[in-house]
Amino acid sequence: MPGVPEESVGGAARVHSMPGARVGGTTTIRRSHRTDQTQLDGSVVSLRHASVPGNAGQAAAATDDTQLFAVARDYANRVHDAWPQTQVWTMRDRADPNTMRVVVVAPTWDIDLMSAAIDMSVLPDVKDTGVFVDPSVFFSDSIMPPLEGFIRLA
Amino acid sequence: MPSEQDHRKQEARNWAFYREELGGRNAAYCEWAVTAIFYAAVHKVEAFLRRNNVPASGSHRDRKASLRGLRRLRAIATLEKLEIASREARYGCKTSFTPQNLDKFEEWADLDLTADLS
Repeated sequence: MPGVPEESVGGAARVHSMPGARVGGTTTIRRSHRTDQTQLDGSVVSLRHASVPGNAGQAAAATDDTQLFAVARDYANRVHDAWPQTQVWTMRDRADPNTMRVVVVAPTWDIDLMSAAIDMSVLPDVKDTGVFVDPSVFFSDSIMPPLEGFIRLA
Repeated sequence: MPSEQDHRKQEARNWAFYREELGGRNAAYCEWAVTAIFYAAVHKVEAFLRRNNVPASGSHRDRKASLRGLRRLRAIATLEKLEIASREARYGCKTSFTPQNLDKFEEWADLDLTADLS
């Protein structure tokens, strides 16, 4: 990317599986000073929220992107495996660097899907990672949130 | 700032509104029924937060962050489910909640506020 040199440390960081977690594929997160990320379809999205201005100490102590995205991807895979008709999107929470916001999009209202998808975020092997998954469920035939800044995981 | 007791009273008023004015699980205006249940749960959480000396929440997101700080992850998940149902009722114009759905929402609103993460 012109004018934005790649970091020499790390360069391309492979997503590692967390203990007890199942991470599909071999997705690679490319880091630059803009902390861009390669999506599943090969396109690159800028993670504008990857650092927390004015909160550098907390950001430095926070879990790194690789761990955060591994946990989010594991959650996304669980949801998508159970309900292949869903889409799962994520972004790092701007206010809490250890939290991944996740939006599950189902085609239409389904109370059982909604309930189970939310409950999956507090399964022991998710919550024990120290990364918080903050999920919500929307329905594409109803109101939808703006997904700008989110990355599609499934 | 409303006290713990204020929030307990408001929780009780929401339940009374749900049961006495809306008709409970057989509510014709089920979109308001689910919303009354959601706000009863919100006030239950706010009462819990006051008891733990947490300031009033400025938003639903703030409330979840406070619960996260107190390691109440199951309560966050349950509150989120009620918020989704209420959002669909209020903004998604969903009016087809069944009595069985409302039974489930009542059950969810009886939030488990014990710590679930060390």
